Amino acid sequence: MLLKVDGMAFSYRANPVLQGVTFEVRPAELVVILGPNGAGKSTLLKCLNGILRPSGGAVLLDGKPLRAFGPERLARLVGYVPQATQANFMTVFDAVLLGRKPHFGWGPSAGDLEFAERVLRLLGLESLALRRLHELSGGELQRVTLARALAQQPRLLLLDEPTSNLDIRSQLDIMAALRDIAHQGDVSCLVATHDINLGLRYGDRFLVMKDGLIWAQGDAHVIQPELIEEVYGVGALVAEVHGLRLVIPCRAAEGKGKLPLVPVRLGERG
Amino acid sequence: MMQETARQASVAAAYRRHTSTRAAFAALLLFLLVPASLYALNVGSYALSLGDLAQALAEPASRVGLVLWRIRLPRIVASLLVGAMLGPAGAVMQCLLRNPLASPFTMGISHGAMFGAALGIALIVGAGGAESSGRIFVHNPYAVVLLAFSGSLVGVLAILALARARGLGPAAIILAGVAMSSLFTAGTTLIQYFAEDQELASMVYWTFGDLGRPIWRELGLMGAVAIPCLAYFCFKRWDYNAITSGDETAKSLGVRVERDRLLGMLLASLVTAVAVAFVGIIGFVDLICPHAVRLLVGGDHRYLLPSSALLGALLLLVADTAARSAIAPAILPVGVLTSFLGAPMFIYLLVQMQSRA
Repeated sequence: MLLKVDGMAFSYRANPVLQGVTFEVRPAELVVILGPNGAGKSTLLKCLNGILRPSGGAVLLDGKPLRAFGPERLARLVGYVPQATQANFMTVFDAVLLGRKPHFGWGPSAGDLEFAERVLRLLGLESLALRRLHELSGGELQRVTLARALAQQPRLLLLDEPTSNLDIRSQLDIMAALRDIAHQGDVSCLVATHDINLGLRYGDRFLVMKDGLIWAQGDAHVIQPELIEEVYGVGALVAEVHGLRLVIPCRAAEGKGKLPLVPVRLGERG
Repeated sequence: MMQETARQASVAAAYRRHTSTRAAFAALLLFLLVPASLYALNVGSYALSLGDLAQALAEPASRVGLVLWRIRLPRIVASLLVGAMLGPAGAVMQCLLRNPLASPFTMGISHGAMFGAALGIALIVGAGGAESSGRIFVHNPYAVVLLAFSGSLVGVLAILALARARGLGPAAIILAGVAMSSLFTAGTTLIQYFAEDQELASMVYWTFGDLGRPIWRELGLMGAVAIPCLAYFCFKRWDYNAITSGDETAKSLGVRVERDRLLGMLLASLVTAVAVAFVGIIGFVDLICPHAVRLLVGGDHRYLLPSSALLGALLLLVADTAARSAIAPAILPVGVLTSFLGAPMFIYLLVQMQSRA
């Protein structure tokens, strides 16, 4: 087990944001966190890499408590892609090289430069290497942020809404890249997202959160109309189209089951 | 296959070439300091040829040697030192507060130091006073520096507290800085109000910034504070790069953001306080230099910090030389000149920041 979270809690000024969060992440898997706004998805991610300090419970990384790692050692094991990235005067290569920081002492070695270049190529950013971040599009910036996190050579990658503000092509590109990174690169990914269908398409397992609690977890089959209604307050169809499991939201109650869909096989209900 | 490997090698190699131009920029600035210093050494009532200059320098006891060693050389060293202190101080504050308008001058930290130093000179018996020539002299530079630092501490801690408070944007922080500099200026004025005529004249002159004041002993003290602080800033260059990318990103890269921010801000204000204590307030150098470097070679702190120091030194030296020769034999206060440069730049940055937000 790469990550074991047991009964983790977090409070912000006496308001509980997370309560009794318990789950595990295995090596080389992509886990998707779903849930409405304010469910605690971002907070959960931030508690796993030292940005926030959980107020209770245990977080074990590689069998050792998170607190036992110093910030630098933790940065060599856990990468983080925040929701919004500061576009500044750095070049793309500088930004990616920054991901090597936890590994180098005084400055980057030739090996660090090489590694940064490998990551740039992996994400198709080599032609942008010397462009400044504030000149990039949203999709390019998102890829740079991912590249920086990958340059850390982490075992676990935490991503907060990596596909928000991206066009559909970039969304698919990023998620496909993450799946490959997880399955082939042996870097487990924990992805918080609002896009249920994108998550369903690429995720191996799912955590569904609401009000700081984990309401359900498991493989794609935990995503059922009842759960969607319970968690999001929206009636929904769960269907399979060409082998893709899809959640089709409807207006609560009256819309349920009445969408004029063509060749759709309804998912099993309950 | 050969082509493939050539292409493979290109990105890191291109990046190395790219960074070497950044280093070349720093080297160019360093090189420009030489003719600028020589010219500054030669400007004044005694015009000398290069050979005479060398000869006079070799004979400190001669009439010309005395002028060089006692007046011109300390002035040049003060310009270089203060410029090299203020440039990086501004760069560090802009990074740590992630605010393009931040600098010791615009945040009122310089004025805090000024107030502290004035308080020291006026109130502490024996710390300093004014000579009949109208020069402020400092008997006890340590006490004055300490008080200047205390004044700047009040400023910087207030700014940090405000920056931490929720909902205060970059523009609001700058406004708070404006309020603080007014407050400290009022305090300094109050001290001047109760000062004797002689002291008053020199204190007013001091508020414009005067690079001719420090003597060698004071320059030594300035250097002793500046060099370790600048070394610390350069040591932290990668952490600053990370902080520029956002606090959360920096933390995820193992940077202790809160600690680095506090320590960096404190050291930047210490550097400022020492400069202000001996030469007064010289506005906008700390704001302009990092921006100019960022525009020319980018925001990588590996190069931004040393280049800001070098550009600060060069800018202040050139500005002071111009201030000395513009209406010679009278000497313009150098702070007036830098403000002419800096105020338009400040407004430009403000407009840019507002249009981006």
